[in-house]
Amino acid sequence: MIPTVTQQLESIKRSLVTSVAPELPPEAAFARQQVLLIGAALDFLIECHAHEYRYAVVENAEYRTLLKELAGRASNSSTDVTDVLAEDGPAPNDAQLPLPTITEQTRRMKVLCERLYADVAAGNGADIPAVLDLQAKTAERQVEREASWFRLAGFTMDSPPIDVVLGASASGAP
Amino acid sequence: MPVDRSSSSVNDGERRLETNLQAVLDERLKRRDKGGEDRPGLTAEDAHARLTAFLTGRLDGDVEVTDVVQLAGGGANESYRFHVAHGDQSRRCVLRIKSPGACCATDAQREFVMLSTVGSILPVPEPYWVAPEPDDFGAPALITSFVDGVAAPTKDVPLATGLGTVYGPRLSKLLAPQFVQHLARLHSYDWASQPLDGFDVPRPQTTEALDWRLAFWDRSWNQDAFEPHPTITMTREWLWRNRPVVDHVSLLHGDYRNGNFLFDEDTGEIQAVVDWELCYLGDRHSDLAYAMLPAWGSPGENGEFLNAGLMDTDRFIEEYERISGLEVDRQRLDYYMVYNLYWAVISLIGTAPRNADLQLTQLDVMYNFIYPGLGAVFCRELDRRLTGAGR
Repeated sequence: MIPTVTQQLESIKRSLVTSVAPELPPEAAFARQQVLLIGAALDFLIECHAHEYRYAVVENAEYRTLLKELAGRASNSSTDVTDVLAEDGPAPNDAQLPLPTITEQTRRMKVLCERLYADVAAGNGADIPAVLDLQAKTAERQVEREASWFRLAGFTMDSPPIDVVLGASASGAP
Repeated sequence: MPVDRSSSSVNDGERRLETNLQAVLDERLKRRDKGGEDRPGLTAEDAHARLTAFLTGRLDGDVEVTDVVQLAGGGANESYRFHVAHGDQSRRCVLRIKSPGACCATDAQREFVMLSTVGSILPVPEPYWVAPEPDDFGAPALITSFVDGVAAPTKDVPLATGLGTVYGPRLSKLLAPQFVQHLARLHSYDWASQPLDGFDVPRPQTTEALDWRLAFWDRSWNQDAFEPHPTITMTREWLWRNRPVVDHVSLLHGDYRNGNFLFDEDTGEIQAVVDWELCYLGDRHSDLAYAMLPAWGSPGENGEFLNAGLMDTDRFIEEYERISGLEVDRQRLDYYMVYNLYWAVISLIGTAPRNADLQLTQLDVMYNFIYPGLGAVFCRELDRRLTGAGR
């Protein structure tokens, strides 16, 4: 995804510090304090946002373990306990890969795909229509994600929200 | 999906809390049910108009309000300083409006009454008017005198090494004796003949004062927290199980620490103890332990730990006992250290993010970021004290 959320947060921070803050009048103490806080909060988000999913996975595993332990010791364990423990949760090793590692790996695959596509397309093999179809479908899904991701910029407001698009892709829906 | 916690052991429905604080929490829930406001707080122009309307008729002669400026900071109150002229008189004042999205639910009437009561024993802003209903300023509010002074040094600012205000050697020496003296006077003051409207009066030699406070914070947590927190769960149970009897009921500030008094930077004289919104009647060890929270302290010239950046623990206690005539029980001090961390965490990671989510505060950036960060420090300290974890 280009630009990344990190890149956007960094640009917002720069704009705040270089364009907004200097324009505040000296007597605007409250507004100045808020600008400083927003800048600090953006630094916090830049450092942390990419790890929210991993955080959630680790926490999920932590409380699944605690709940199992407590359920085994409590005198009265109800069905809502067994029900939630029976639900699907993330695999604990989902938390192993940091987001930048995944995106960097994906980027290397994109480069390799581009190279191999060019290689195949340069030939005259019978595979060309199939490869073209694969590439076209990938491009369609890529643009569907991008249109959804940036829908609030106003140009693709007709796109479904990103959670819907990603949910459908992850479930294998067409 | 919301989690039903009504049948769990954290249900606090049967526990009593102070009458008017229960009303404050009830009112808060009603306000939330009505939904968020268009804009939390007032603009300076709006504050100016409301002040003019409020003061006209309460002051003699033509009333002119000028120089209305919103003050920075303020978790529980939205504050403005202003100047009011009437007839041939003029005065500088502060308007403190109870923020509907405050990180602690507090009551303007109690704050006003407490300021009126303690003004004869220690320096505080003079309370002029209280508006207990939201009609005048959109929320309950009070108006006090404006006090000159600073809350933190502005000249030769020492390098901050912790979370609390740091004063440096010269100011520490000047401020420390006053800091202890004011607290000792407050706690030893015989308030029995004072009309403490808005306060329920607990009986000494019982746990009533503490029970009501614990019930208040439990209720706050249950209303505000998005989800349970294991440290809160553990601490709540520990606090109820280990509550000490309150031997002597004192007037308490509730937030007595560095940063909550104004002083003259040149003379080092404390001009006013401020921020009384958390005041209550209870055990002196509560204020003492709060002032001694590690987060507010910093190292002195020789590396010794200075409580509130001012005074080492032994000297603090020795001076306090000497001036107040009240004994300090180290075991109770430990208990109230946990109690103070507990309520602070409830405010920082429970109430603050909830009110930010409801868009009830102008401080939502701080509530979503700085407050939970400080809450993590306090949670770590709670874990360390209760289980030895985090060492």
